[in-house]
Amino acid sequence: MIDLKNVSRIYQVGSEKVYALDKATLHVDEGEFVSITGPSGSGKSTLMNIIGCLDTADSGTYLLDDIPIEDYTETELAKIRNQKIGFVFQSFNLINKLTAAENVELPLIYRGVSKAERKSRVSEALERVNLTRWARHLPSELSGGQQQRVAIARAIITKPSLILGDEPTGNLDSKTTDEIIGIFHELHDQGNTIMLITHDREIAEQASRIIHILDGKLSEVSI
Amino acid sequence: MIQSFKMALKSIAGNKFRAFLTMLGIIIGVMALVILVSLVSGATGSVTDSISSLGNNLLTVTISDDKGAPVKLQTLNEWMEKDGIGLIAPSGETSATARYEGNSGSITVYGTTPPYETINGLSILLGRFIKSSDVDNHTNVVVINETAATELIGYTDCIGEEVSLDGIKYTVVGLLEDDEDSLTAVFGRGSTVAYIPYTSLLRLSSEASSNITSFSVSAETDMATAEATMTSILMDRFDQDDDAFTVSSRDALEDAMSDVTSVLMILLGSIAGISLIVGGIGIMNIMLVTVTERTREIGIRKAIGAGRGVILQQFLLESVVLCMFGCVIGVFLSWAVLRIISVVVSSLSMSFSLEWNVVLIAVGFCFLIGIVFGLYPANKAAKMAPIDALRYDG
Repeated sequence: MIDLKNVSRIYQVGSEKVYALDKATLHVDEGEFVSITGPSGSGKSTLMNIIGCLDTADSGTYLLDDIPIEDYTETELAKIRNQKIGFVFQSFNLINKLTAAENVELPLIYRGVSKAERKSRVSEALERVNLTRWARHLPSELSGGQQQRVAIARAIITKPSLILGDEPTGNLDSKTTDEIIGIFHELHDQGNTIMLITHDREIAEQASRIIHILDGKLSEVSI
Repeated sequence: MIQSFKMALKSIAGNKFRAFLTMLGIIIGVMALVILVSLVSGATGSVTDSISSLGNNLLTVTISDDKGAPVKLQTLNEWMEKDGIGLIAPSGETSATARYEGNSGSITVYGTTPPYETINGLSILLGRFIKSSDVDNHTNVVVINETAATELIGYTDCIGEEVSLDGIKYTVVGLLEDDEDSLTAVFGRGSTVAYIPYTSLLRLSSEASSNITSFSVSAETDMATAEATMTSILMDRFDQDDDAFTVSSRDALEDAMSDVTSVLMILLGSIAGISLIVGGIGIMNIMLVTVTERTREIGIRKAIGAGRGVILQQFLLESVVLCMFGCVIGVFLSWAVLRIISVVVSSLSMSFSLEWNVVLIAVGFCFLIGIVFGLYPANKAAKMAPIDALRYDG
């Protein structure tokens, strides 16, 4: 379902060109659990941004579910993100003014789902991450682990083809980390495709495949 | 759309004090617009009402240059015979000191002839108006109004009393009703007025002359014919020089009045409009701050599927809602201020009420300002690249 061919992304830093991604080629099948590791500045985030359709490649091709991403306008990409991708970020990225339930509901509003359906899907998603009783709380009233669970609920509510985790446990203690990773495994078991960026070797090794990235070049690590 | 509206309300409610300060510009602008225009139109309304209440049935002629052919009382009598002309009465005016027993006060004295009563629609309460025999015989008789009677003599049943005007004794023969609606009543309330025969005025005041320079004319049938006839008579008399005299009707007065007030309204309206635009700049300023502050939120919304249009709509709506809130508050405060003014000046027989067409203009203008000044910030938000916005830490 993910098909990257010779994808490059170049940043101009001063007079120097930096290859954040250098002819990266990657294929991920549906239902896989892939983790991506690499030191800071190696291009992990750039890879995630391109796979997540937040950024586009300078050269090469990217097919997501056989859709050639580089042909789309920003607004069309927003729609693709809404339909196919669920994001879970390191810093949770919840909207502070909205309650947990409203945060989870937001992608469905952008998709134009009816109010009644939104309501039932929100409570379903919150139940899945065990947060039903926190639905009416603001993010500032929740612990880090709870906020990340809200973010996961928001990512899965659209039933995306791909769930992208960008260091989702980076800001959490080890106990909550286990909890969050546990949820990712459950989602994987239910048939979701999952890609996780992580520093943590232990977490990386729980995946079915590990991709290592260094200076913009990808390499598969055998487990 | 409804969702965006709710979000806009939420975002405004989340920062009430700032929102209020931002709206203040709009509130003041709307108040300036609505109050000023309502005041002008209220004042105009009452003045034009009083002009109209005088009826459009008289011409006022003023002669500035008689070209050696002065107009005498006899001339006026001849002109009254002309077709189209109704009555003509001269009016000479002076101011005198009136005395009655121990009381004294200044009084405006008009010298005229009997037709004046009819032409100007005066109403006699007691006694009679000036007669032609009074004019012929230079009789020292006077007709005073109620205000003059009460202020000078102390009571209104004063027929037969003798008052002196600048030392000359006059017998009071008639009492006139105070004209509440007259032009003089609007501009100079409670004035004391006396009417004496035109010929008697010549003896009272050195300013008055047997050469008549001001007189009023009523129409036989319609005003237009009277005005045309009068103008042609005067043109013939004064060597076809239309600068030698003026013929004015109440219509002309009303036209002039409405010209003045519409200019005034446009002027005040534009000043208020400018303050609204200044308010709009305040809105734009705060929206730019809001967009920067919420860069990360914009990034999140974009990441989970908000397109450019959605973001644009959200911020545009926020700016419009801010403007409209300011507008509603401004209109409400204007209403309150106008009510207070009406009560304070209630003695002035003027009514100041909210002009609904101005309110509509204010609402429309605020809406427009919300859009125009919200567009740039909203567009800035919509055009943010999602990854840059997500990376922003502010």
